[in-house]
Amino acid sequence: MAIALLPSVARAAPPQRIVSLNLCTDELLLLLAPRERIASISYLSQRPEGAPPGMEKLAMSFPINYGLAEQVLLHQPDLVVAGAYAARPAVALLRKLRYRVVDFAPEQNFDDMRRNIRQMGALVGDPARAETVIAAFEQRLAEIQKNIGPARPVYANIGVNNFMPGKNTLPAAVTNAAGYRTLGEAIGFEGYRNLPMERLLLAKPDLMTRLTPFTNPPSMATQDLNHPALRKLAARTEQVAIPERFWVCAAPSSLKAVQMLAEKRAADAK
Amino acid sequence: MKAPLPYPVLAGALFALTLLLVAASMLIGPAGLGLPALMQLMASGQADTVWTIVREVRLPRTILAVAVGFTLGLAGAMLQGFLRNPLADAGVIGISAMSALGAVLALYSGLALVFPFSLPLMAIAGGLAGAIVLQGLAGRSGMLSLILAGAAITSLAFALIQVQLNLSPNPYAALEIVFWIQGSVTDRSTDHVLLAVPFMVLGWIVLAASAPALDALSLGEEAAASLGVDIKRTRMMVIAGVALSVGAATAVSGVIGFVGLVVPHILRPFVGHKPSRLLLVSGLGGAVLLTASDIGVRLLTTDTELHLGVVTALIGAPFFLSMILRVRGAYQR
Repeated sequence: MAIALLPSVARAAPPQRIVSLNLCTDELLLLLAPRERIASISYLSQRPEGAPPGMEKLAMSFPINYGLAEQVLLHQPDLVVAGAYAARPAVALLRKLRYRVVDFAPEQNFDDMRRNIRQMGALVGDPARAETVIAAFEQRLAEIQKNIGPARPVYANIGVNNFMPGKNTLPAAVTNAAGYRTLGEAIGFEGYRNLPMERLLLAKPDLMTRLTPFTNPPSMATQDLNHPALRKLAARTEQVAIPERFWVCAAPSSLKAVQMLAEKRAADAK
Repeated sequence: MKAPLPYPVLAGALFALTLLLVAASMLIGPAGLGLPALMQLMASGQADTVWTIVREVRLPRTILAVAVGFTLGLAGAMLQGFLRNPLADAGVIGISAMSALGAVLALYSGLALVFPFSLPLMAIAGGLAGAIVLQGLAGRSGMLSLILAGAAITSLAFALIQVQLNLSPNPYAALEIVFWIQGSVTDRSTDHVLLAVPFMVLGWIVLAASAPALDALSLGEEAAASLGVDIKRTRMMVIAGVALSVGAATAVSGVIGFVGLVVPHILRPFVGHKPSRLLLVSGLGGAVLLTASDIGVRLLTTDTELHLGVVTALIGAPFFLSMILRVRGAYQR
């Protein structure tokens, strides 16, 4: 009975026990909700490769969940936020038990980010804070973009298994914000592709990244970023070390990646 | 039986075919990167890039396709002759899967980061362990118990591989289960060639040295012993040679099935039934089959290449079934 009553209670006042099941909703929640109202965040946010940039320490202070229904029930949440494509079995079960679960669509650009920030602000009952966060983001972005010229050099962001972002992806949005094109955009494909190694070697990017947080213990895929052919490409190409985490979620912290790219442009121009 | 082809003609033809396929493998790339595209790049002053593609990407995969194919064909012919069992093959009897288990232990534990040669060495040790277990389980019994023991060893080894890869903290490890079970030489580098090929060649030499005993053994163990063949020593050499070559091959290419099963059967009618004559041509036949299959995966698919073992299984599995039908009557017990 108590469980069945929860949703109506939740709508009366701002939610007091919020659980996040997803890396990207974790970051928005930490940004917009008072910490005492956050009951649990996803385990990914406490791993070194997943922690929300700039909030690594803060993320360590919450109980974590692995996207399993039982762990969520433990907190008797009055709001659960989830990624639209993650932890689906748990989300289905929680909805069946009449918990309030809200899905967040993954961000493919900064408009999606603004939409998700506003959605989260409204959910936690602080839309004004969402607007402040967005305004600060716009101001900072404009500052970074002030000195970017019209040229659009090519940035090869080489992921594990030669996973490359093309048009209409979040990495492309971040890259474009700094005045670069991704190699995938230059080749002209939509979404993501595992580019054959030979194709990759044909490219002459102006800037590249080949980084993985997963080096030890290794896997063949993560070791292949050290393939002799890629080492050769790296030897003749300018490098920028942007951690993989920045390509996963769009948040105000994405500006750090934009800035790192923009600084490379400034260095080239000189 | 067909009249045997003159041996040098057959071996020479297979060797020439191997060279032809090697050349093709160096010239054929994924969609849009064929010979014309490369020539155009050369003409536009990008010889460096072409050289990198050919040397660092195509050469290692081609060398591995040839060496791994040779190993599997040779090991299959050797095992069929030595065990006097037409269904014997390193993959079928579980040596390949045990080698893969050894390689997985070395690679995903991080040991191979510190000591790269642990990758082939652990794979060879896995293959040896598989051969010894098999010997204990089914050493002297008939064809069926050998195949059943091989199936059990293979299942166990694959299960342990999946346990290890699913438990790895590296999120990409679990995706590589398919590499170990189906095999591939895509994007293997010169590092892998240097790690594995020396051990494969060593295995070939050991196997070649045990070839003379093979012919005597075809008359039965007692007859061979009366001809002065040291059975125990021969068995050890065959096991060592197969473990060395198949272990090293599996360490860098995963388990590629059916090559060692199919190739000796196709070539046997052409060389007559003297088992030692089958060894070299089966090795060359294996190299031809695997290099052709590896060209096939590049031509068939563009973005994500098929695994080599998929192609060899598509060819080999129906062949295996027809084999069982053919020999069923003769070997029932």
